[in-house]
Amino acid sequence: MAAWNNDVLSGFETHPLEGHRYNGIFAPHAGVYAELNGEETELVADTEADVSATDPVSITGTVSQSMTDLLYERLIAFDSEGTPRPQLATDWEQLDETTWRFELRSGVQFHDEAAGELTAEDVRTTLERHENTARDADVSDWYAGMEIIDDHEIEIILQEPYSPFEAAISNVCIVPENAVDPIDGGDAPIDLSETPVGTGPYRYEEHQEDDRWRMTRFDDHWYTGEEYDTDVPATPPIETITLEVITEGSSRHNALETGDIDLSVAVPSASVTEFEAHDSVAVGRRTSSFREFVLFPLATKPFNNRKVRQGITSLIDRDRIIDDVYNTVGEAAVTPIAPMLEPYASPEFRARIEDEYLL
Amino acid sequence: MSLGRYVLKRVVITVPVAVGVTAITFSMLHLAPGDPVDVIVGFGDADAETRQEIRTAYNLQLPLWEQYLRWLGDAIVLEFGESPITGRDVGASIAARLPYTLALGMSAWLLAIAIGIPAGIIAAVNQGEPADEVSRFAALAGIATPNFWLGLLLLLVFSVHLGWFRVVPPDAPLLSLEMVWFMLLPTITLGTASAAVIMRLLRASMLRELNKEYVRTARAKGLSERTVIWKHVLRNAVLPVVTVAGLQLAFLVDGAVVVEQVFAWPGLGRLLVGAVFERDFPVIQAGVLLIAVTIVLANLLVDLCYAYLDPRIRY
Repeated sequence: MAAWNNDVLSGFETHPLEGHRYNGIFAPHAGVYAELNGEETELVADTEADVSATDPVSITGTVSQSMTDLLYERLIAFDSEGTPRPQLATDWEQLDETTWRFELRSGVQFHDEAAGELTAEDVRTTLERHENTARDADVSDWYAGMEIIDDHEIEIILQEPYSPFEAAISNVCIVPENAVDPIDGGDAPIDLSETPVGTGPYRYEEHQEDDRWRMTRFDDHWYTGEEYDTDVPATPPIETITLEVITEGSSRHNALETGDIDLSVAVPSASVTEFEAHDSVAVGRRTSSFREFVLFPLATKPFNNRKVRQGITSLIDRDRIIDDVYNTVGEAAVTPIAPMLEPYASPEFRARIEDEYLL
Repeated sequence: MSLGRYVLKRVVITVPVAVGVTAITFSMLHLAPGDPVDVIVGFGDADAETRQEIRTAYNLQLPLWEQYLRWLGDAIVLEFGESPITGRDVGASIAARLPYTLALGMSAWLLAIAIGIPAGIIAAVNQGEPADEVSRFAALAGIATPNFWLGLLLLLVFSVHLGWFRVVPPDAPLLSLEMVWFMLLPTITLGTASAAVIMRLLRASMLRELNKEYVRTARAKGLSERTVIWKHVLRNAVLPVVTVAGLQLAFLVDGAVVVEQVFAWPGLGRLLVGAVFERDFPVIQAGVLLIAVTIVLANLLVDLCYAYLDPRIRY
């Protein structure tokens, strides 16, 4: 749940997908951008934990994912309605069941001159350096190989037909070809675990561990204001983004209230009602894909018994958790698919699960 | 034995203590469930070969004693390796936070002494009178108040309602005026309980001394009450306080986790707590070593103060 100071920040909106909390600052593909009122050029926001990894293939948490989200770009990115939109790919099509062709955007610069301009080789390296990393499955579930037709045209070959391919490729952050290998190390010029280098509208500026993380506008970003049919300006109005690490929920609340920060992307749900009564604070309430869940170790007794799982599932008082823990902010779910992913959430499937597990 | 030799001896004793403490944590960490390799591969199903590669890269495949000896050999030259979780240099991570931890810990400690000692004297001298009762109540409240709650309350009153302080640290160097001003609330939060402990201890210790015969003698020979209290009673009464204040120093420097959370202070406590959750062994080890060393040093300081305060103590 995000909340921000209306007197300072305008135009911000929350993105429904986890891992894109700062997306509302500047995201031409989604048609959103935020502005600071007055002369200020620096946006101060919060993060409830410090970034723990900056190389996309080592990132396993939504905090690190979000904090680097404006630095990296993908071939395809989803807008707030869940529609895939071009980002580093200008166009793409499915040639047959297991082949997808992508046209890469030309003239895309990486943040570091040593990385040069985006080419097909960068995409290949990006996909292949996932192997054996924490993010291995993001790619190994479907990737069989890649044909390079020319510098800006590629074909990705899948192992077998894979229906969520567009969603999967939108998780892959494109990094330079000459980045240090996450497993073998070596002395390639760009070490993403030290300095994240992507193609995004903001570039990494400085990091003081457990204290603050700062990004500045990348002046050579490819976006000219013409690529999408939106009113997002060519240059992000906000010059500098500073994220303060504030681990304590009530401190985030207080920091927003006193104006130490302009935007909180993680306000405690208990603060929402108070902020909603506040004139100068806006609260971005949106059903997100975020959910709480319990995983049963199916191979272990007694969880291998379906009746045990049914019993536990029935005992979880969802409505009470929403009322007491989330201060009525939220919706009860029975399947892992959030209501916003409507096309995937078939009512029959939901009814069947409800029938089976909620006795 | 001269003081110089005594100090040397005590410093040398630090070594086996540090070795012992780190050996124990090292084995406890490896007994606790949880494998750093799982964290690195994101609990994914990496193949056995990769897991082995990762183990070799961080020397996790060696027998425990050998891992420990290797770590120790590096630690002696202040080389703490790289965190397998974040890929950052452990020594640098700790060095970045140490100034913040020391600054907050030391200022809280000075505050505790600056309040605890005068308050303890006043309470003892005015035993049973209103000043004593007030300080007793304040001390009880100080000890009983959980410091996160005190911190939140101070923030609510002085930052949110009065607007005198920032809620999160300013973007300024540690020793700048802005930062020192900001540190006031965390210092009070952290130092209050220690001030209360020191105050109560000094009061009790002074009362014990005040009933002794040398005090009657001193008064009988016409010394002013001021001289009696400051030169005779306090000097004798302060020894137990020195012991506790020394340990409080170590406690304040090492134990500020909660206050760090509330005031978004980039100190060591949060680093260590995070490291424990992520099984970040090198960070935990280096942190534990640091804590062991501060406690040993604090004790050394205490012993040296003894010699100064009580001329009968010789080493």
